[in-house]
Amino acid sequence: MSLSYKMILWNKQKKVYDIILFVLMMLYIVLFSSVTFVINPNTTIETLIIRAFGTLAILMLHIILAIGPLSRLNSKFLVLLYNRRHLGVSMFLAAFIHGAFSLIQFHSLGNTNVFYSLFTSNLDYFSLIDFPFQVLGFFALMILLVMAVTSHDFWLHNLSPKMWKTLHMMVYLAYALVMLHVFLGAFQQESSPFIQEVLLVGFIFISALHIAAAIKEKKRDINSLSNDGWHYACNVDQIPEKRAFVISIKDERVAIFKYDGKLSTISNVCKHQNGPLGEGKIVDGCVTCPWHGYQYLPAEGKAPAPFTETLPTYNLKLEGVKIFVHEHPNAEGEYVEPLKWG
Amino acid sequence: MIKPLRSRHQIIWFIMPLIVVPLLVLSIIQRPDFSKNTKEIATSTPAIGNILKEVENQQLKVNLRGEDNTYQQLEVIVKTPIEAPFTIVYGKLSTGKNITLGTIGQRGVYRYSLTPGQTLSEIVLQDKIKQTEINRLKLK
Repeated sequence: MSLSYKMILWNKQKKVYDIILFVLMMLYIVLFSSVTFVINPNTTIETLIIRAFGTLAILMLHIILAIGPLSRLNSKFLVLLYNRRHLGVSMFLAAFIHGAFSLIQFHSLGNTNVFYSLFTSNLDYFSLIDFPFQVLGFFALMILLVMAVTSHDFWLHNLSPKMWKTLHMMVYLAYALVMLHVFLGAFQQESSPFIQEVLLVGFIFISALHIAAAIKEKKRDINSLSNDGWHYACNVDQIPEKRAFVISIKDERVAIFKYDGKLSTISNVCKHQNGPLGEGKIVDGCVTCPWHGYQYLPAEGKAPAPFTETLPTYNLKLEGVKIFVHEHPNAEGEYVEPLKWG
Repeated sequence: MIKPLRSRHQIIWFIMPLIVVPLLVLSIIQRPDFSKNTKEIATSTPAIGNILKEVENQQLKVNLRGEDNTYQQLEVIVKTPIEAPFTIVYGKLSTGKNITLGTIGQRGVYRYSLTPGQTLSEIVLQDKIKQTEINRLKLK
């Protein structure tokens, strides 16, 4: 969380994460270069750079796309989500180096503009294996560029989380374009089927993860039944201490938190990036988003001062050990006396 | 995430694999077969028999090798660098049919095996990325 504009939102953990990320990226480049020079010592330095950074970007893209569904399937992976944006920007930089060197090597020797050459040197758009695959890579890179530029919270606040999320879902289109770029390009001259099969399995694995996560989320979206506006959620003992139980009421998810002998309910949707607050926990008396650590006071749905984010609260009632939530949300930031139990 | 975004995610991931996977598989099935004549194999492949025919131009020297007047191997010597990153050698049979022989790159000797009885009338070097012809050499 930050009140003022900063170019890069670094803290101690993020700096450690970024150093590890940088070291791993460099290690990959060195390893790839060493193997390439052993297998094919005649490889030129330009070709090596294009291939090393291209494969690195694809590897990173697969890791980035796996983090989201893995976190939804198992909360142990949530830690990877915390700094995914820095991973995304680093992946874009690797893809940019690949793209820039490709444009220079393949299109800058002629007497036409490199971009004109890119789009007109091969016009076989109706063929599958002769398709101008570089154009696919170019459009994928443009999507990644837009995402990298708008990755800062400045754009998140100005575009609204819904719009920002929609924009960043274009990464899926970029992923499809990248896969076709590789299969219709580099793989057309690759004699070994091994690397093709690895990437195909990678695509199927990522798709399967997203589908599994979608099925799990769909089950959680089944609305609870209402009785005069009150919805039965769960019994008190079903909620672990300082954790939440999430139910769906009229297509909105709400999170009931249990803490210090009290119960409070707020919207499940974090104001920052629509993260699932119900999967977070109470830290220092505040509901803490598992995605990026945004915090809210559970009884009033307000971020602690000096922060200003607010969420709708909900009224609760207890019948024995059964917890009921009223379907009408209160105004954002409206205090609701926590329900005491036990 | 809010419900409309979750729904959008679900739609994308149920539809995208159905479109992309068949295209990826098709691209592998339909690609030219370089398994027998890749550059790496060609350069390490020893020469077969004697030179039965040789043709030359400014960039290439082409030898048809074999024994008993039967062509068994095509030997291409690249004399000046080919300024294209991905070049394929095609052979035109005397029947008019084109066959893919393999890839070719920097200066050096490339050898491609021929099916006994195949008679090549010419070879063509094509820039695979720009889909343009780089060199053509008649063998008859």
